[in-house]
Amino acid sequence: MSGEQAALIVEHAPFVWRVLMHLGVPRGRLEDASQEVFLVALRGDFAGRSSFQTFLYGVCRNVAHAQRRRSREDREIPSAELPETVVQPAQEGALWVKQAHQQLLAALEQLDDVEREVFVLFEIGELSMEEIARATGSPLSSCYSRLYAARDRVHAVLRRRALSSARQELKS
Amino acid sequence: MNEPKRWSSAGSEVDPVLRSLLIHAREQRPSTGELQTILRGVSAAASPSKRRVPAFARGVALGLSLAGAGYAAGGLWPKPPEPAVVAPPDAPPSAKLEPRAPRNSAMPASAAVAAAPAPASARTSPPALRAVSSAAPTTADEEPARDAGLLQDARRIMLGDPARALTLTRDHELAFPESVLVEERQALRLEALARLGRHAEAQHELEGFEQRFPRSIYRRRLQSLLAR
Repeated sequence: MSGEQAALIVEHAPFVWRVLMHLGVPRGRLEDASQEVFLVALRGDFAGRSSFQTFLYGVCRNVAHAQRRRSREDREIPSAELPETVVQPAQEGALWVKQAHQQLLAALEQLDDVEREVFVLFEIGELSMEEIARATGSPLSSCYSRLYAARDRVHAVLRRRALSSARQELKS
Repeated sequence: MNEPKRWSSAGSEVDPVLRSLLIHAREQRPSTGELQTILRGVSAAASPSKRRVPAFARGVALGLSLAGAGYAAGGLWPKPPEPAVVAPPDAPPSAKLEPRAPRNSAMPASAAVAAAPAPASARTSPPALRAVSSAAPTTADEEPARDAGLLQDARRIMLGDPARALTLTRDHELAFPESVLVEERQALRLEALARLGRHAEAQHELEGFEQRFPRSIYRRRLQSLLAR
């Protein structure tokens, strides 16, 4: 692997990682999945018709789909349902954030695939709505409606779960 | 159509806790070890003679050291991925991966070093440097956890040691002046003041709190504490 390729991986690894994570790839498979994404990307098949990040997302989507299928076949515990670990008091803050993040992942599991990808790309991948429309091959107006629908659902789920418990803890 | 405001962006009207959570999600990235594994896995499966970097990326990548020695150093050969995924529509249909390399095969140290890019040169562009800097694993991942953690600690010790809880809220203010949990911090501070018997000070600060957070869920509780 050349230095150019390594640079490309280092630059885009955080994007690929968080997109895969929030598209439902289990934590234990993120390294493998990221490797798959970059192997496809570095083949040089990027034709320049979209931004490289948009192209990468297309690969991520395919990889995430494949990884989730493998997880189901292997009957792995999805990352959003990992059991809680025993922690020391000093770790409580970190645990609180991790648990809240697990709630977010669980909430994302309840979205339709099309809503989920728009939400993940916009809120976590930080793509613009136009880039998302290109990445998903959907009309811009559809992306907007999916984003708003996803937000409503995520908010409703988290409101019921993570947010209420976090608030309760701080209130008590 | 106007671009919506992201939930994680400053000024977003979403619940501060949810905003903090989205920021945490947005900051997820592989650790140093995980990034190293990814680099090695790709290096193991990719043959330099067959791979090429997209042309647009060459300018970005040129001259980057990207902590190459650090990422290339030490450890077992990583797990190369299975060839089960096709490229997205932007790529030709011929895109297909080669067979997965065996796991845990040893990688010569020299090969690992060779895979690392050359040291940064004068051609390195500032945006590229920023990209590498942000990609390099740092303690930034831990910031949201520390942010919430300090306040959790303050809340936990509030009954037994309100003076210490007050100190923790000050520490939090110094460490995270722009925290999205500022409302929670202020509420904890007011509670600590009340429990320390510093009612006049607390009452004065409560007025500012109520102006700043008129719909706060902590308001009634704080009023009750100060009424005792």
